[in-house]
Amino acid sequence: MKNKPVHYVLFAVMCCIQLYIPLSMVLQQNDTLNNGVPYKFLTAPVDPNDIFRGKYIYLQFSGNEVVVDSTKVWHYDQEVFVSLEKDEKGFAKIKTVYTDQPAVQGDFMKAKILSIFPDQHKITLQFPFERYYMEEFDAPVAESVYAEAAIDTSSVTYALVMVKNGKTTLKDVFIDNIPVKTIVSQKSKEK
Amino acid sequence: MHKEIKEWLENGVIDNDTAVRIENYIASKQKNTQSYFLVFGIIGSLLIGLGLMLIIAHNWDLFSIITKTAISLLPLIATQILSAFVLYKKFNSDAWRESVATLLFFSIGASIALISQTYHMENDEKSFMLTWMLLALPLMYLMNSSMTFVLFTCGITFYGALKGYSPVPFYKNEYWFLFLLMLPFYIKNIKVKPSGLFTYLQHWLLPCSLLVVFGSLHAEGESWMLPAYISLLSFFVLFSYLPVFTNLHFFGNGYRIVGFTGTILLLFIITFKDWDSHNYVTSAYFSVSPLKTDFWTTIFILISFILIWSFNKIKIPFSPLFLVPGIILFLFLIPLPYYVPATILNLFILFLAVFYLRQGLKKNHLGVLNGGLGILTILIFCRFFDTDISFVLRGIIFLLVGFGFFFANYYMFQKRKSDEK
Repeated sequence: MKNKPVHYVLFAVMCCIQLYIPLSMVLQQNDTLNNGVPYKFLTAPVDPNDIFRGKYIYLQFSGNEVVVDSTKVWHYDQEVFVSLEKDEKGFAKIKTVYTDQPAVQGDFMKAKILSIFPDQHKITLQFPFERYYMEEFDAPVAESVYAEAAIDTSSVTYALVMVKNGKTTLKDVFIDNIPVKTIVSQKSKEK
Repeated sequence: MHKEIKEWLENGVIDNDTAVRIENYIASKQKNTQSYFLVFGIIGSLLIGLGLMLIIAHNWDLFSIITKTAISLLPLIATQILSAFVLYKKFNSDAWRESVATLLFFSIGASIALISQTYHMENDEKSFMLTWMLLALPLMYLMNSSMTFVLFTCGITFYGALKGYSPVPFYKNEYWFLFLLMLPFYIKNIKVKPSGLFTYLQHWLLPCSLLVVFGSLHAEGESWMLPAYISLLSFFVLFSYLPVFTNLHFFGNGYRIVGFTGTILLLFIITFKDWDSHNYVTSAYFSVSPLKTDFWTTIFILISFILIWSFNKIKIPFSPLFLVPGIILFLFLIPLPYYVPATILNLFILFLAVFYLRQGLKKNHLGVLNGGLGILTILIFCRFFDTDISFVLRGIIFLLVGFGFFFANYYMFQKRKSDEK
């Protein structure tokens, strides 16, 4: 049985789509990485047992709470738009939360609603950059380094995120202004 | 070999019948070899595909972002080229087609996974699974690959459960749409290869997949899930009696086994004393709203059930399981003191046990006979947990049932022996 020419054409179209999707992901991420505006998101102290899942650091952020007029328009897992600004220390701060893409000028990003507190007129958000992937064997070292720093109130841990047109790409994670990968490689050498 | 047979035939070494017999023999041998190739080809592809994903999961820091991106696309491009070759040259070989399609299926997943890792993209398994499955869907049709169908069903079931059991309305769960999209392939397989191993597997996968995601139709407030599940399971049993499934091997008819076991299991669960106190019967759960998905699903299944049942051309033998949705609905809607539904359900299970025992004896079928005895034993066993019967009495009842097993089987063997004589 020979295939008809249309079969080959459809196959070629399928291959193109299969390549286009990952490629478009790459191009969009690269665009955000190279042309986005850098924001530093402060991370919150974490439960050391929960931060490492497999081969990535699980980041939790401190500034993810927003006070809103009414909690009725929001629901769990809803995709929202968050406009951003920087505080006096240069860290990212949520300005306003929108249900639709804001028409106002300035940087914004997408997030999801994690929880709603109607009594306190408050919602908490889940940012789309909670995972920082690392090499499998660096995992245990990174786990202890990050856990120590995240609990230590004197040390500042933050994620450097590039923001462009609502898209975000996590670039690096810093502990006291040193990239976590550098700390991990130093620790590995010491051993 | 074909040339030689032709030569022997021409020179009168063999006659026409012998030539045909030799040809058939060779063909059957070739079919066996092809099956081996198919099985090992698929296992090999599965292992290579999974291995690829694991190696990628290491997340090589050694490479730059550009190199990682190139590596992530490499397996995809390579398997696409290989698939194109199979499409052009080896499309008639099941082994080639299935193996390469399996490999391509995993390459798609591996590529998206590696790119997500490289750019620390959002931790959303749902969107990852959905992208993967949507990209793999045309592969199933274009490569005519049953193995891709199997993997696709598993993938969308996982996705459907992830999405469905999070608080989203059912129409936002793409599972149902993806499920519909794969049905034409399934129907084609039933027509073309009705007794193929993959078709058997698909008869199992589809009801199982539906059962897994079906629970996500649970609406807020009072639940209609019990009648919904019971209706679905009885529908599976009814569906299994359609003409396309009647000639299947017993274990090939997944709908019947899943429907039968599921119904019996659910019936047993709801006969327990503790169950009625928090979940079923006695109070009228009759608040109906357009968003009550579990209620509307029950109605939809029951209407389909009645339509198929009353369709004249299909002769479906009666099964007592078809009564279950009616009984459950009756008990569900009419407020009764708790011991009434409990008694009715226990008596009904007893009736089921006797029905299958009788049928087993009548049809001389050991499986059905022991199925009936099994139901009876489980019923007795279950009632021992929630009733205060003395140990002596329990012991005696078990002895009786045990002897019953022996005698019934012995009787059946004797009957068979005398029939053979």
